[in-house]
Amino acid sequence: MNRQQPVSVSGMGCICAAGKNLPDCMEALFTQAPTPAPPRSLPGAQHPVFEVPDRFLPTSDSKNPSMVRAVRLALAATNEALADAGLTPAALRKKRVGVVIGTNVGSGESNRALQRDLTGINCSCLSPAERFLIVNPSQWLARHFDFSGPHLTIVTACSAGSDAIGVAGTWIRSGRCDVVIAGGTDALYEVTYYGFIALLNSDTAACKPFDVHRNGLNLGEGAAMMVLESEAMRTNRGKKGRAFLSGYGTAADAYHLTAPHPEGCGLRVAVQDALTSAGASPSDVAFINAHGTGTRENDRVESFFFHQVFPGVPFGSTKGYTGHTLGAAGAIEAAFTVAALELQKMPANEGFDAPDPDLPVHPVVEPTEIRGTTALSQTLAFGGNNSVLVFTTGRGA
Amino acid sequence: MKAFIRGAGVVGGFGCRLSSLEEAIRKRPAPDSDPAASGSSTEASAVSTATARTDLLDQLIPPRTLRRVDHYARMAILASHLAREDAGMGNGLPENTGLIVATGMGPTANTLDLQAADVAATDLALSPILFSNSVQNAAAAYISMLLKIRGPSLSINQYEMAVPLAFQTAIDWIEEGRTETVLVGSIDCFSKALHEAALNCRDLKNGNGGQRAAPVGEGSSFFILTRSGTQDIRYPFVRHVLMGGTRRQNGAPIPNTLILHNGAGRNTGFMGHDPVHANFAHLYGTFPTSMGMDVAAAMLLLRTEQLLSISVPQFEAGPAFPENPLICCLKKGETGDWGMIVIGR
Repeated sequence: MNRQQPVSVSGMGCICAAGKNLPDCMEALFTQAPTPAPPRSLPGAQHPVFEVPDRFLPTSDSKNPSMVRAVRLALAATNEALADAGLTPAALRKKRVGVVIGTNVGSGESNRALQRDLTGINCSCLSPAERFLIVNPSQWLARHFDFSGPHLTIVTACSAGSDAIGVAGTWIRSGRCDVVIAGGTDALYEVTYYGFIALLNSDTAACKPFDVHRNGLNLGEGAAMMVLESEAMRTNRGKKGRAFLSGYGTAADAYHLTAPHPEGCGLRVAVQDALTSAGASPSDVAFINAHGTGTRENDRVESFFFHQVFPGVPFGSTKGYTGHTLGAAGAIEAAFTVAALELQKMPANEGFDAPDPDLPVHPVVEPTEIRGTTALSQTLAFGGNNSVLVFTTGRGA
Repeated sequence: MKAFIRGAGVVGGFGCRLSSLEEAIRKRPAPDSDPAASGSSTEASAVSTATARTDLLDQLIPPRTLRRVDHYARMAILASHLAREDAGMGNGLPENTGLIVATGMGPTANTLDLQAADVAATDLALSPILFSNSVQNAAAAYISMLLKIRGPSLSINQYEMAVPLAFQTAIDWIEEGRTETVLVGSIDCFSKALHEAALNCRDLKNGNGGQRAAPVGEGSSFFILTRSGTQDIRYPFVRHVLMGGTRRQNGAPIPNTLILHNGAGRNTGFMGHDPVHANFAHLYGTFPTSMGMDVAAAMLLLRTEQLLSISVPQFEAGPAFPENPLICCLKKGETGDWGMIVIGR
């Protein structure tokens, strides 16, 4: 792995159960976590989730029948990120603007329309291409904003949002794009909801990442987007960035479909690659946003890994504020990581109450001051995918 | 940057392995027409002949190991193993090999067919296996586990543009030094439910159901790409990956090329010249990621003596036939996007 040029993060947007935008989310992370509840969209369902209240979403979008919920979430986060970057679609008209989005559910939502078509109820009359493209968030956003660059939807399950940001960094460094909108989006969806219950990975109460009584995850929904921008364009318009994406690593466990490698084999490589590409070492890391789902195995693997590789580095999971937002998780947590670096303060690991005596290290239990300009956000996905992002502030960001 | 193709594996309606594809090309040269675009009269027969069998996989991997794997992933696993075999790397790929799996429709089609298109939550709750196989990166996970690949891994879903984006990403990874070797491939599975829905919609629209009514065929193709100049190479290079759309174009027109245009139509005016066209859709169908099959066909045309003159004689007989011909595998999407993978010796 070669050292890579850092890429500027010019703007960010986020929507999830914790808030309708990134400032609201950060306030919730340091004041009060939302309480998960059975999903309103699935009558009779009992397992609690972190659902985005409808009032968080622009009402105008609901009048567009072609917009699935994952796309509505993505659009809300993109609008915020562009505004935060001081960019308008008109200003980007002559720029090469790419879109890279991670999702899990987004690509599957065509099933609903297909079922209606087959039963002859409210036939959507979509061609196969239309059927798949209207639920494809990168395609939808590129068309909506009339962006002229490439667009790509990544479906590496729970690491998709991290991978999208990592790939977007390459598109900027290679000169392929001036700007890339990168992030993740996912909506609650009955297939994943009942699927995680079937896998016995869903907690019947609020999730408790790293706690001795942890018993699974709560699903969530949301989206987060980052505006990555070339240095030439950022300098030219005199915009101060919020941070740099300075490293990205991804590696497979090659171990099990639904469980992480017990010794964090792939995670170790992904972290090493991310740090190498950032030109950083473990001692440079001020804090880590852990994946911390609240499942027995994920949290055990991460705790042992932190103990071995990052002794003394504070870490925590934010799943207790957002639920597990699957394809959006890596992007939402990347945005939280950058915002926490800016604040020089990381949130408490919500849901953690009793330390697990079998785990060597434990997350922060209250908002914690941090010192440093480099932080890690890591995701461990279904299928053994591990993806890690390194962000830095300062250095003229 | 050029990338070498060290080996390839294909699974489709024509059979398995490059040798089956080569035999099919020899027997049925390119007619320069697109069966999927022509309407329903040819579709039924095309579908029945273009679905893939994966029996060979049971000779390569103990069936018990694959008892929970669905048809979608079986095609990908088989094609990836055949690529490794073709590359002469049967003892194993480098551990840090990258893996990129591209799809246009994902495993959704297979899942729907298994359930008779019933996505009722109560049914899904009964089967953790069905759920696991419905996750978009399940095929990549199976491949990485079976081939012991622990490098970077990515699954992408971009309908007709998935293949060029996958190749572009693979070359990016090699160029960045993320890995020296990438196993990159694509997969799409025929869905009877999706096909019927598409035909119903076309009927409801009085035949005006879009340029291509329904995907025809299925299959998987995988390629082992390596950094230029590091290996003993039997196959051509990937010279360029170009992508564009209605408002963008990356790269310049490439003269004196053969265009393989699976599902793309002959409208290639944006290339700035009038190249020779060929189309092998009659061999493997036209589905979102069938461009992967075009890449395999292009490799064979450039590698195998006389195959080009047998299958596309008008290209070699042309006045501007170059010493080192290039073949452009072109996919045009319904939204105006296009992607091109340029193969050359």
